Amino acid sequence: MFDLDPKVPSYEAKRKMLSHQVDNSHISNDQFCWPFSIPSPTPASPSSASSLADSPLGHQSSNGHSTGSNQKFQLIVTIYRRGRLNPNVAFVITISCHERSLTLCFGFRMRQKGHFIHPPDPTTRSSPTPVSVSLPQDPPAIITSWEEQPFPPVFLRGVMFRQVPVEVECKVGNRYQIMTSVRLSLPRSSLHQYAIPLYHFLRCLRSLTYGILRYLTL
Amino acid sequence: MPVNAQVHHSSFSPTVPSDSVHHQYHLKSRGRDYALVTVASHAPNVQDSPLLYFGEELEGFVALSLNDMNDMQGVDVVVSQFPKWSNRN
Repeated sequence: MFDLDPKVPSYEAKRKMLSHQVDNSHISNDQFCWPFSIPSPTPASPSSASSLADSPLGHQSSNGHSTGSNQKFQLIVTIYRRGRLNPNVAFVITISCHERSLTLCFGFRMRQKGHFIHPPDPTTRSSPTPVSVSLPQDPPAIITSWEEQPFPPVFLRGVMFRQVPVEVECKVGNRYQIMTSVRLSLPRSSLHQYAIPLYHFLRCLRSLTYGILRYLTL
Repeated sequence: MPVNAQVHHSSFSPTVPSDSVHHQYHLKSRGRDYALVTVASHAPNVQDSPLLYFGEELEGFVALSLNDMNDMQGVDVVVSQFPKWSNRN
């Protein structure tokens, strides 16, 4: 019948830390550090109410019947200080949710886009494709060919601006083993037409990398 | 002493998911950094805007220099939900 007063929250949860509650567990690296963990509201769940102050589940009033869009959320951090000359310091994060996009306001001067979304369903969360890797039992004495294998791509890029000796060290490994590095050198003498030698040099290094990968997985 | 942004918060917040990032915001008082407020989110990078999940615990921490603890009376954190968007806020 009436528009709800935006100043009256439909949900509120609070955590409070008083100075006399500070102990050594809150001191780290000469700093006071107070971790907070506070339940955030669910967009369309009029859950049962509990007390407001330091409420573990928060307080959801009966007028919180709106959906996830067209809502506003606010996180306010306030540090209360003693003395008239020490004003309290407040920190406000306002999360305005409309069509699941929202605006975060940090303090009173900064403004930033943010998002409030539904958590992913764990039953539909995609998992990486399993990769079966056969570990080496007896490594072959000689690798006869350097044919490419469907391993993760190896990209090598090189840009040269003047004639200098080139030395590239390549380390290849998998989760079980790190192969000895391969060190290739391109002498200065072959660099008078440096663009093409560098291209072949990098191709050679790429083939060597594939070879080492193949060796590691045999 | 300024508030150090490199607070070892992992030991303070064991329930924060491992895939979360911590967005850090400095509160200034009289032109100097007074406190550090950190909020955990699911954003891919800390430079991205915070990404929060409905219904999940909103976690973070408030850090103060010990020098500023003398006049600190208390800290509170309030999460509120308002049913309608208002231009007044």
